[in-house]
Amino acid sequence: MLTRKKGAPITIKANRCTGCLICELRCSLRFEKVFNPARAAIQVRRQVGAPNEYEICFTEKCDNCGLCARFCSYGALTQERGKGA
Amino acid sequence: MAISGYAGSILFVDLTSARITRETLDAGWVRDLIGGYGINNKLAYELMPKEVGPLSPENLIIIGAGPFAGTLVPGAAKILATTRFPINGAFATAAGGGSFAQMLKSAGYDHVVISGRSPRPVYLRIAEDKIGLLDAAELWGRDTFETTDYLRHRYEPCSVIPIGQAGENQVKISITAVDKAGTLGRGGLPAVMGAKNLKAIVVQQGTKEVRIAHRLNLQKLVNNLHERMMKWPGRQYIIDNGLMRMPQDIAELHQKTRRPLACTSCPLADKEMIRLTEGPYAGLQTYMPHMTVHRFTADTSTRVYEQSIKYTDTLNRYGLCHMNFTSLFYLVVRLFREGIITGEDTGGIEIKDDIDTALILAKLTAQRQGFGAVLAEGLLGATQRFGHGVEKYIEHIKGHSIVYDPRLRRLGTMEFEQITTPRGAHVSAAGSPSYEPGRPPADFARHGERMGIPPEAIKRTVTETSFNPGRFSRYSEDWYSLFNCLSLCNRAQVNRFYHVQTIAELYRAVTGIDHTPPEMMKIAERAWTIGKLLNVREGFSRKDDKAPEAWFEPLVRDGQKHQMTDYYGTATLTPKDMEDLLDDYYDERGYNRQTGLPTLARLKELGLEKMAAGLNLPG
Repeated sequence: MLTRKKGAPITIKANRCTGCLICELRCSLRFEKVFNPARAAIQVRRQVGAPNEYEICFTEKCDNCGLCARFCSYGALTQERGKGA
Repeated sequence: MAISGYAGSILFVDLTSARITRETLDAGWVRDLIGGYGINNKLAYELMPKEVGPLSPENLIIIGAGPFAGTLVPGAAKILATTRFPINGAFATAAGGGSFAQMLKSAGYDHVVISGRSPRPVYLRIAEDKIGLLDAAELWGRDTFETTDYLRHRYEPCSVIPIGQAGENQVKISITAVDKAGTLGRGGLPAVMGAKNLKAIVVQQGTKEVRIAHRLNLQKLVNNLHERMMKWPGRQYIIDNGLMRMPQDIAELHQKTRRPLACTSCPLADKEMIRLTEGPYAGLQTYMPHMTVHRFTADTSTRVYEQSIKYTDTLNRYGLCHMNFTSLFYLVVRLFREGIITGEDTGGIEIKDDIDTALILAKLTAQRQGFGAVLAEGLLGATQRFGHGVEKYIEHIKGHSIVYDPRLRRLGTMEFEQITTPRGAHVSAAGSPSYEPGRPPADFARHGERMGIPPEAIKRTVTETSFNPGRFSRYSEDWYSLFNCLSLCNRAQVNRFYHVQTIAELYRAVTGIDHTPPEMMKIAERAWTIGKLLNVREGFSRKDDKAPEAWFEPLVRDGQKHQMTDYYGTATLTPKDMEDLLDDYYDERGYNRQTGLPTLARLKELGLEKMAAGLNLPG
């Protein structure tokens, strides 16, 4: 299922990701009304042995609401100002 | 259905029989003890008989995640591990970061109780209903990082509590790290795992959700905390440097080689990954909770930095406690230099204050080989083995090296509480404004109110010109207990944003359970008291709450003499002053001053009178 995108694309800088999972927790709360990173539309995946600890990607469920970027504490996710939901 | 905020289950794993069972989390325990530290202590008290040897199969390892774990509450990542520790025989609870607590909840469990001893090396895999004890023969002998990577390759996304060689060899100064960077179990938790033939615990991300009672309220409270943390001027320093202050030349090198890592839900990432690209250790990639500078005999900033990283990396890989091993290392350097121990004692090793000697001794200690078998016993055990009357050279509290020396920092709560904590000298057991120097008494009153200290107790504890660390520490301990019940990080940099009223509101939003701030603090005290009773049951009392004698002698550092003074530096403290402060501490706890034991009256107020049976407690 493709979801209609609400806002501007999210820009990813994976080298800034610290693995705090705030984005996944925010996202699962928004979509599922509960906390579980596995059910978020954003996925932060550890890269075992790679220079960047984490890879970030989105599932088809993501509608670019921008919640993840708004609460990313480390600049790994950004969205052009005013374009988020 | 489980109470909101809780997974609702306790997992029981018996390593001897490989039997796996589950029980529903008792709603009454949640009401009385919240979770995490509190329920860990309750489980330990209910399930463990007296006088169980720390390394015996009968000792339990009880893992717990509190109700805030797995939510967005900032800093709610602590996993709590309760056991009887081999370094001193004390029951205590270790707290570590990473993502284990969140993942355990997602797998459907609030607590895990591990008993017995496996007939062969195994690791415990927790994956919702698939709980397995898997063969760890291939992992035995590997270090903590290798073990973590091995399990990540198989089970990612996952979180790992491994042990290194020090744990396998039941070294009493062993420690481990959750997800490579969240230190856990100073005092030999890995030795307990090693004695059980348990190489690691891995929990996989599950599909179970953490439900929230009042979602919108929680979002509002969390957003407010998040915003305050993001605007805090001290935040950027932590992101750039980690927690520790260090000389500018070292800090510049550090910034170039590190990148911050965070525990789940934390906007104040203080852990780090470090990669060295030049010098003798080029290619080294490591992880640590924070940078500690060791000068050894290095002659340039670059060498100091590289050697500090190499040293810490080595200890972390073996799973050796940085603080306890370093204290031992400098002790044997001094004893060797002064001729008190010789090559006959060290197996022919010349003990020098250099990185190579430190690395050799770390390896021997982790493997319990030669002289290392002596060091593996920790400060107390090693000095007893040395003989020569070297006990007078060591400074320890209940077998642990000193973390905060009041001769350098003056006597604040963190310095004082090292004496009273059942665990022995440890970090972050009793935070207060005295974490920093020169804070006025008004700050203690303000923070006391934040920490839920009753107004009449603040009057007893803080005056216009000073504060009483004995009395204040009692409340710092309860504050720490509350955070550990909830799985909330108690670092000064995190807990400064929390008020007991906020915590009560967060707890209501997450769980739907309505506790007033005084009720929250009473639960925290109850949880702490059960931890105390676990140790009272084993014979610990005021006789064990002793400041090192060395604190009453000047410490010479860089040619300057430092005496232990009160926090404001107005007077040098004597043994009598310290005994008076201990009297104040026990008095504030409602304990008997002579014995340092809880009174029956206090236990009754906490609803713990049934636990007094057989303890011969004062009225």
